[in-house]
This record gives sequence, C-alpha cells and structure tokens, in this order.
Amino acid sequence: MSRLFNDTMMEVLVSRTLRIGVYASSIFMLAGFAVSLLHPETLSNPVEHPALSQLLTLLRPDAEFFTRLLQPFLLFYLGILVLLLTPIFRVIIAIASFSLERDLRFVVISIMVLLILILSVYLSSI
Amino acid sequence: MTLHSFFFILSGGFVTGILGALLGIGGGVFFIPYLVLFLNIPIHQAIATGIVSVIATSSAAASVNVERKFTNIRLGMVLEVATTIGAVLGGVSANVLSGSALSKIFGILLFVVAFLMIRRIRLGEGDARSTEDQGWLRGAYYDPAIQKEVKYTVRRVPLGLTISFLAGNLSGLLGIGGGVIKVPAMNLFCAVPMKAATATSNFMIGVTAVASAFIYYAHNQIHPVITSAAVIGVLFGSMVGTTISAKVRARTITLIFTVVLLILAVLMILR
Repeated sequence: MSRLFNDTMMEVLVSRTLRIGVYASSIFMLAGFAVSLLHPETLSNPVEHPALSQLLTLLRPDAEFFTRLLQPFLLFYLGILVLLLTPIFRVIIAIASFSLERDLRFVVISIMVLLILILSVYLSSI
Repeated sequence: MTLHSFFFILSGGFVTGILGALLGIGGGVFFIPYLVLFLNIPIHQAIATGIVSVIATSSAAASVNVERKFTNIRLGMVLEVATTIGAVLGGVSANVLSGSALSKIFGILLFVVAFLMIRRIRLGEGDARSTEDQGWLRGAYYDPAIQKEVKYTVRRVPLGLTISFLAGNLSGLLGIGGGVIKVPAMNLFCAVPMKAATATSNFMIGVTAVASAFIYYAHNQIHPVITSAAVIGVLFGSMVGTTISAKVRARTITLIFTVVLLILAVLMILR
C-alpha cells in the first residue's frame, strides 16, 4: 500500500463529495422553491422536459446561466442533475483513490461499477 | 402543478423521512404509497420520485457514516457491481410494466417489509460474531457503544452478490432503497456486524438508484417539481428523524407502523 495515499484520505474525499453534492442540489431546489413562492404562476407553465443530452448543458457557465437561475423549473432540473451526478463522482473518486493506493483488484471492481452506470446512461439516451 | 401540491409533497416527504429514520428503513415504503394513494400521482412518477429521493438521503447519511469509518467502501464497491446491474434491469422492467401491475408488486413488497419488521420486533437486532481471520474482504471500525475496535472478515461473497442483485432489482423496479433485505442478509450470511452492514447498505443505495434513475428520466417520469419537493422534504425529515431516533423507544412505533404498512399493502394491491 502506498504511503502517499491511504484509506482515510479516500474516506475524507468520498465523504466531502457526497456532502457537497447534497448541499449543492438542495440549494438549487430550495432556490427554485423560493422563486416559485414569489412567482407561483411559473409552476403552472412547465418547461419542456429536456432530453438527457440537453440536461448537461444546463450547467454550462455561458451568458444565459444566470437567467436560467431565475426559472424554478430549470433550478429544479439543475438540482436533480447535481444529485444524479453525485454518486457517479463518488465512484470516480474511488477509482482514483484505489489507483493511488495501487490496489488493482478494487480499481477493476470500481471501473466495472462505473461502466454499468455509463451503460445505463447510454441505454437511456438511445 | 400548483404551490399547494408542492407543499403536500414536501410535508409528506418530511413525515416519511422522519418515519424512515425512526424505523430504520427507507421512507420510500411509506412515501411512494402516499404519492400514489393520496395525491393520485401515477405510480411510475412516484417510483421515480422515490429513486431520486433515496439518492439524497443515502448520500447525506453516507457522508457521515464514511467519515466515522462504519462504511466498508471496498465491500460496498464489490456489491454495487450486482446492485447496479439489478437496478438497470429493474428500471427497464418497470417502464415496460403497467401501472396496476407495478402497484400490485409494490403491495406484495409492503407485505414482505411488514413481515421483516415483525420478525425484528420478535427476535431483536441480531449481530454476527466478528471473526478476525484472513480474507480478501475485511473491515474494521471503532464502535463507541462498546468502546472497542470491531474487526471482521466478509463471508459468502457470492451469496452477498446474489442478494445485492435482488435488492438492486427491487430498487430499480419499485424505487425503494432495498436496505430492508440487504442489511439482514449482510449481517446473517456475510457475517458483517450490524453497524457496518447498515452503513454499507446505505452507502450502496445512491449508486444503485442512479443506475435506474436515468432510465426513468428518459421515460419522462422524473417530474422536476414533485421530485424537488420530495427531496427537500425527505432530506429534512430524515435529519430530524435521526436526531430524535436516539430518544424514542422504537418498539411501539415499529408495531404501529407495521400495521400501517399492512393497510397500505392491501390498498396498493386493490388499486
């Protein structure tokens, strides 16, 4: 086992990733909730369900990013997207951590989990 | 969708979040029937809501459990290979099945959960003997309750994988976390101590749920407003529930809500 990286460091990273993901997602959702309290009519005008491929573009920090943050529906979608990405990030961190620990068996196992998740995204987008 | 229904979903999520934490099961077994039976939300959407909600509660609880070293990340990753495959298949099947079929399967699941809860009241929380010999999957954590380090070796990994596959399948099909079968199985069959089994099962739920969440998303079943109201409600509810669960005697509550589960089971089957 490598001295540079150990299980405790992996645990701290995994724990922080999960916490940040939950916080970020709830902030988006609560913001959406706040905006819809101020403008209840927006809830009755749903936006079109963005396709999976469009969903990621919601996070793109372009010129329209802040105008998106004023629409409750897009804020809700952003919250959901962040929540769905959180466990995926957690798996990626596990892969990186096991690699740094030179624990090959668990690098392979974690990559298998990631591949199954990627497969499910692929199955959903065809 | 009105602000009105947003509040109903949020408060329902809050109450079932508390219940889930108090009873030591995911809130989904109460929350999904609540959405279907009382708010008339189509069952596919209700299940999708359950799936996204358990990602939130699982991640929130896991961030604490991992830091306290109760979670066995290696064991979790191994079993996730099976839970995610199960969840993908469950998600695909759910979107092929009709609403009334899903509702009946959900009702049957509620009967099973009620039975497992009665069994737990009668037998109490069992615990596996911790063994210290060599194996490729081991674990250790410090248990503050007995002020000792607990070391264990995971046994019967293939059986653990099989049950994890089933739990993942249930998660993808019905939107629950599946801890209710994973925890006793990991404890009884794989000799994982209760604290580690609970934490590791919870750890796996987020990744498992994500494996079917995209399938529900693609079938347009993840409603942004319903899901967000549910996530906020369930998250706060389970935070409150975790805080008060140490102070409440679980036995009586478990008995009462086992009866509630049986009633919900009948209602879901008749629907």
